[in-house]
Amino acid sequence: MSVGAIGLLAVLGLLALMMLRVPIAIALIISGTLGYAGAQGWPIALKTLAAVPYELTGANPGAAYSFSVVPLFIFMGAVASRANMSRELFEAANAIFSGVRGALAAATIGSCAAFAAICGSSIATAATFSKVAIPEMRRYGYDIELATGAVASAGTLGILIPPSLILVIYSLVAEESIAQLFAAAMIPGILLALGYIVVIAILARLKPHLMPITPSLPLRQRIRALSGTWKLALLFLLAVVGIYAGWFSPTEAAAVASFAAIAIGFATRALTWRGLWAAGLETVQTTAMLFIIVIGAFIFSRLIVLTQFPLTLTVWVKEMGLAPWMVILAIVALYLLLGTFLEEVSTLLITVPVLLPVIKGLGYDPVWFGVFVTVMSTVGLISPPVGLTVFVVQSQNPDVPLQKIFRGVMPFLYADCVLLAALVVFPGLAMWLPGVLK
Amino acid sequence: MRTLLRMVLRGLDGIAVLALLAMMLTTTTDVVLRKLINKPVTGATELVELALGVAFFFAAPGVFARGANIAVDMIDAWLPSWRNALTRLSALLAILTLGLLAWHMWKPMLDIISYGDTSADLQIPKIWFMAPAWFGIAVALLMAVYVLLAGEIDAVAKDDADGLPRGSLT
Repeated sequence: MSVGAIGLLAVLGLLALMMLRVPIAIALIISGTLGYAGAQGWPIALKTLAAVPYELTGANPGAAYSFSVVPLFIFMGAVASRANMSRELFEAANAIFSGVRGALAAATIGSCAAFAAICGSSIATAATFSKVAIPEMRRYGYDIELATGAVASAGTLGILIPPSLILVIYSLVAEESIAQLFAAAMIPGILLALGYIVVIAILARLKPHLMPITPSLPLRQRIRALSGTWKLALLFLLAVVGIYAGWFSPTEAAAVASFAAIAIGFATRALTWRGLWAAGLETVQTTAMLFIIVIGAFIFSRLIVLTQFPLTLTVWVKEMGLAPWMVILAIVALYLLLGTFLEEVSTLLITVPVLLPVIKGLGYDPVWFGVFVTVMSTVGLISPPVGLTVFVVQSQNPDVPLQKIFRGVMPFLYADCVLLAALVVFPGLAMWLPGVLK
Repeated sequence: MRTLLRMVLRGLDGIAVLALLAMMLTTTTDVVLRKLINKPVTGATELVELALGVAFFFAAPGVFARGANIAVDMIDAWLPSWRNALTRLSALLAILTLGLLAWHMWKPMLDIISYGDTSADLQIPKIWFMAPAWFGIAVALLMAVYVLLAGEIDAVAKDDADGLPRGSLT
């Protein structure tokens, strides 16, 4: 059997196992190892298999250190979401918008965007703000579809506005600089937040009954609410700005900002020892879930490299003479398809090793592709049937049916689509800032 | 049995959290000392790598015991009656995979002991980096065996993490 046929069988085997609810990591390891054994024989396959877990330890210096950035960024978000900053952010954002129709919904977007600047996880962002923003919107008689849809959508800003867990993982797979990727995602992230606010403004004009006007806050109260955002500003300074100012490497930035978040949390009495421990547990458990898949993806992607499938694909795309935009469209379709059943990080780990050479062959920058994949992930996070931030919002508002939240998300998906198209037509939206900050 | 398992998992998770805190504190101290008095912590990178291995591999068994591995669960809606059978299938394949890993990861570890390799800065024997990995895989294997025998995953604490739903990494 040719190596190509083995690769194809391995992919089919992977899909079959995943459909039987076998954990993605186990499915990757089994299909990857079997494929490797078919191509190179069992001794080499087993040796490769046994070497991969050790790559995440100091037995393989350097590689392991680059992975330490992952738990530290998760930890920072986990601490921040327990340090009561979400309410202050929401009040500050409301102080900006109060008085206009849809102020609370716009405040939801604004505060999620701000929180996303210190938290790299969409799930954490959505979970944190569904506790704060949804009760408030319900209290003032907002339509429940709009309220839940706004939080589920705004939660996705967590992975687009740096720091971003998806971009950290992309940087490890694609071997690109985290600093460059974070810089590239900044403008698209802000644009998406603005896009969501525009969606709310349009809805406020077309369907005013969805969002009653809330009382306008007096100026003094607005100023006081805004002054509560200093903690976030400080953490953003350490976690993101510090990387570009040359103070820290990304790993150091994540560690220092986590430490600062804990210190602020304790100093303001918002964080308890119990809360800190819970944040730690959540972090190590998420890291473990993630790294188990990373091990599987490493083994599987080694088989993919062996089959030379990415190279074949690149040559084939060149020979077909396809226009770049057609290839991008095909990739969008692929991600939409995978997004109907596969979780976003797994999708990234499986697809990027295959697609990146093709993308490079077409002349796109790998940093641009990282942002593109992240925007695709934000779409995947809110589109049915598997929309993870939607699930988070639903789990905290069990009285709202899932379909209602998905319906509430729909108008916001338009903003995602516009951003995606803009990113393809104007790659500079992503590539300008990294060039300036280099 | 459940109580014992729960205690083991609590202990492993606890050590993993301590390792995470150690990573954060080592890195923070290193940065602060280097910026302020230009005296970085010797071997900070190695300590962080050591702690990362512990943080990940000690938390990994819990993922298997709690059924927290990320999976595509569409089939549960289509064929609800297959539920337990599929859980056992997954446990069986996990046992196979983890067993294979534990078996073949043993020899490289022995080799490292006989070579006597150490890390560059702190001269930590390499075995200290590798042993947590092997240990974590081996305990995860035991957890998968338990899940297969019990035929269910609700057996072990789902009570610890607060509120965040399982099944997502982003």
